[in-house]
Parts: sequence; structure tokens; C-alpha cells
Amino acid sequence: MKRSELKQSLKFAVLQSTPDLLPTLLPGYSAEEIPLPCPTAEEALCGINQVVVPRKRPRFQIACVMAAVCIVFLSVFYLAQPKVDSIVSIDVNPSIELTIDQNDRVIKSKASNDDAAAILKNMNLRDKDISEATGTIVNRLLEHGYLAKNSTDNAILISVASRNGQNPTQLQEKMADGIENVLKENNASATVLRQTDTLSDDLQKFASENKVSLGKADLVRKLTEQDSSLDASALCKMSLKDLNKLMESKKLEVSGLVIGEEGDPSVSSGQPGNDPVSSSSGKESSAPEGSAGGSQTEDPFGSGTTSRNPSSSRPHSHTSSENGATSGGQDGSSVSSDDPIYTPPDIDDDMEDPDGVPSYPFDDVSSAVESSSQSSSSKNPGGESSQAASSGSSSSSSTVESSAPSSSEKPSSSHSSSSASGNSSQKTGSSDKSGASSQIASSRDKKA
Amino acid sequence: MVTGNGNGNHQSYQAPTDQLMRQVAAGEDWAFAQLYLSTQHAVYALLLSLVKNPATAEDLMQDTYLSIRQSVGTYIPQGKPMAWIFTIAKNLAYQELRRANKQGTENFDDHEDASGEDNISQAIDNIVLRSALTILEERERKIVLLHVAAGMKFVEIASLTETPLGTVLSSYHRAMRKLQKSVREGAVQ
Repeated sequence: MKRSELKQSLKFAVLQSTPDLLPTLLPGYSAEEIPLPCPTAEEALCGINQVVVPRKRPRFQIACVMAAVCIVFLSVFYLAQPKVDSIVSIDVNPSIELTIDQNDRVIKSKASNDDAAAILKNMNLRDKDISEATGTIVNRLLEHGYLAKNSTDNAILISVASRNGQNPTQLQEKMADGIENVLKENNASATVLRQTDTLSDDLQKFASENKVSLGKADLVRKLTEQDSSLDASALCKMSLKDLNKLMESKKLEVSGLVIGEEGDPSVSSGQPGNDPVSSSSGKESSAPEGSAGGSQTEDPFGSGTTSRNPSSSRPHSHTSSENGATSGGQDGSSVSSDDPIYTPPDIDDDMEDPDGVPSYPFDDVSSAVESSSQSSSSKNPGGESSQAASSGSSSSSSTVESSAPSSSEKPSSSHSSSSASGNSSQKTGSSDKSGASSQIASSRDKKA
Repeated sequence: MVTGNGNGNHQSYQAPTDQLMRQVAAGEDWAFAQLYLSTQHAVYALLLSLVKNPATAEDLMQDTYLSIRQSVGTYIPQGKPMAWIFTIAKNLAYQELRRANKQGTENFDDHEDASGEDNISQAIDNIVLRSALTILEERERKIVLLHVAAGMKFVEIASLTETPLGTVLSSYHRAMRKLQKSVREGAVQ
């Protein structure tokens, strides 16, 4: 017996056994006299002999309503989210990427390497205007010493990769404004390289592999396309200032790259002897590497100005000791401006400035370029010495040391050169930069 | 005792209102008749579930409505006239049970034999009803009869019996399973 049948039987049994007490309780009163509508027996027994149609529960309607509400909420949430319009990157040595919405406000900031992570630590850039965010970052870079205050020996790369190729120039201008304001406040100036990136999966993969921003990766790509002898991974490890100097020394023209100067003009103008290489190459550059001698007394990073610029000599980021034939900070002095091959010098852990900041060998390249360009070949047969240095003989190192008259004026340089010369025969090349230098040097040998 | 073999004044359960109770208190016969017609099955089902004897339930039902008519003036309108009616019915039923315990309990089978009007269909119905009255516990009987026979909703039953709705539902389903099983086994035997 089914449950419905059971219920019907039970109900019928109870109804049938229910007594009719109305005549007893109300004598002479019948049910027909009741004014209110009284259902008939069939109505009272409804459900017993009728097929009970189960009430249709509005589950489907409820589900539809809930789905609609969810869709509305998701739509609102999606629309409320800022849309990514551009990705801009700021490179000094720290590589920072900022994701920008259509209102030029920062959505997300990303550190491409450890230095950048230290810069972005405890920094909230979200919803800030790109100009303000750039200024904040540059200020922090100055505080951390990646950019030198009261100096012109700085280089910053700002790259814009727009989603639809929209207003990259406008973004670059905004960023440049932010940079300029901060640099002026700190009495500094910097060479600002601007470029527009084209986003591609290949480029992003390359950037992530080398832990650099998209902008720097794009620049390195372009440089390697210009000169196939350059090693891309080694270039990625170089600071932007060194890349700039490399471009100047090798006279590499990168398409779409605009080089300008931002910051306090008095600083740069006050530095006598602008880089003849850069000026000769038609680029506007503030890097006063060639004026190292003239600005030594004014610049706190002065003596050996470019070689001790802390902007590129963060101890934690360049702690590797590099020994090799291309040694010392003064090797660069032997590099001729005519020499198309750039030989990155070594880093020595023991090389430290009097102020405790270790020297950065790449800085000497520019001074080397300048000195060679200024003094041409009168002082130093740079080409020969550089080739000799690249050949890896220890005697070449000593030649470099002795043949660089300016190096004797710099205590750290002499120290570095001596240490480098002492280790020149080892050629360990333990660090990446030494590897890069040796690789480039070997390529130069091939060319030679 | 009035023998109940199905009256022609069946009316599905409709909860009486305080307005109707006031009219009953005012002596309106039609109001009392309306009250009776709308609550007779519920009251009978409750009494039957308590005393398990149709004849006794009939007597108690008559006493209940007499008591209602006499004491309706004392009813304090609280929106729950059915609870008041059930209280009267339960009190009378418990009094009868106490008395019956002293004198011996009547048997439903005796009443069935006394009726003598069962046809095959009624016999089946009575088997089911007898099973319900014998195998189910008092709370299960009350819930099943009030829901199935009197047509009350579970919420109303929960409110009137002061039992949680979940308990009412679980008790009902458990009782129906027991009843199904009992009837099936009875049919096999």
C-alpha cells in the first residue's frame, strides 16, 4: 500500500468515524441553516478521491533570480575593476613595472628584481597618478643610493607599453615630469631614456627569465639586434647607466629610444666638459663622465666620480668579485672610442671608495671613453692596451695600469687596478659580469 | 454515546478566529455551528489519538463542545482559539484516561464489532486506523491523525502541540513508515 493510499484510508476512516454531534449540541438546528457557506461532503473529502497535484515549488524561479543577482553583482564587480591600459617600467638598476589604467593611475606595481623589491617595500602606489608614483619611486631610488644626489651621473629608462598603442608619449611626459621634479629637489639630474615597447609573449618571457622589466628587456633586445656580439643576459645584469655608456661608447643607435636630460639643469650645466661622445653622437646626455676630473671636488662621489657612483654600486647587488684580464676600474681608460667592442671591467670586492662604497667597474668605461676621446691617443695607446688586456695576459693588466695616468689620481682605482692586476692571471670570471666581460672580450678578439 | 458513522457535515479544517469565538460567546447558534463544523475533525482526531477508542472519543468530543459552549465567555482572545479548544479536549481526555485506568480500558476491536456496518473498504480503512492507534506512539498518533485526518498543517500542529517543527516532521515520516510496514505485514498475514 502506497503512502498516499494509506493516508486516504486513514483519513476516510477517521472522517467516517467522526460523530455528527451538531443535532445533539444544537437541537433543531441543521447545517443547512448555517449562513456561512458550508462545503459539501465531496469538498470536505477533497484529496481523498482526487489526484493530488503536487504544488509546483518555485525552485526554478528562485534559481533564476539568484543567477540574475549573481550576474549583476559580477558585472558590477567587473566594471568597477580598473582596466589595464598600459604597462610602464622604470629602470635604473632596480627594474620596476607599473600597471596603469586609462586614467593614468597605478593599478599594480611589480618588482622585477630584488633591488626593486627593496625599493617597493612598504610603498603603496595604488591609485596614485603615474607622475606622482614615478616621483615617489625616484625619491626612494635617491634615498637608497641608486641615483646620486647632487650629481648628474644618473640614468633612468622609462618604457611605456600601451595596450592599444595609445598616448605613450603622454605617459612618458608625465613620468618625466615626476622624475624631473624629484631630481630638482635633490639637486640632481639624470639622463632619461624613453622608449615605447611592443608587448609580446617572447619579450615577457625574456624579461621574466632575466628578471628585468619589460622596458629593459626591450632595450637589451634592441641592443643585441644592433650588435650581435653583445650578450643579452650580461646586458640585463648591467645597470642602465652602464647600458647608456655602452651605447655611447659603441655608438649604438636604438630605434625609438629618446634620450633626454631631466633634473636640475644647474647641476649638469655646472659640470664642465659634457660627454663628448654623447654629444658627438647627437644624443643629449647629462652623464658628465668625461668631466670627472673637473667635478671631483664638488661631487661627493667625485673622485673617480663615475667609478664610485653608488647609483650602480649597490653592495648587495654587485658583490661578486670579478677577476680577469679585463680588470680594474682603469681598464676602460685603455678602451678607445674607436674600439667597437666594449669590455666590461671587473668588480673587486676589495674595491671600495673612501666613503665605503665599492666602486663599480662599468662606470670607468665612460671615463675611459671620455679620456680616450679627450686625450685621443696622445696619452695612451688605448686600442693596443685594451686588446692586450682582452688577450688575458697579466702583463697587459700592468700595462693598463701604467698606461692610465688618470687612474693614479684615484685611490680606489689604483687599488682596484692593483688588485685586479694581481688576480688577472686567475681569470676566474666567477660573477656574471665577469662572464659577460670575458664573453664580450672574446667576441672582440674574434673581430680583431 | 452518539455513534459516528460519517456525518454529512464534513468541512475541511479552518482555524477559528477570535471574532467567531466572540460570536459564540454572544450566544449565536450559527457561530457555534460554524465553530463545530470547522473543528470537529481536528478535535475528534486529537481525542482519538489520546484515548485510542472511537466511542470514548465521541463521548469526549461531545463533552468538549459542551464545555466550549459553557466556558467560551472565559476565553481570552489571544489569536489561538484552537489551542484553547485543544486544551479543553486534552484535559477531558486525560480525565477519562485516569478514570479508565481505574476501571479498565475499552478496546477498539470491541467498538469495531459493535458498529457492524463495515464493508470491505471500510474494513481496510479501519485496519489502517487500528494499526495507527495500536503501533504508533501517542505523539506520532497525534501528529498523523491531525495532519492526515483533520487536514492541519505541520506548522499548526507544531504550534498547537508545542513541539518543534522538525520533530513534528520527523515523527510524521517515521510514523508513516511504521504504519506502512504494519499494514503490509498485516496484509501478508
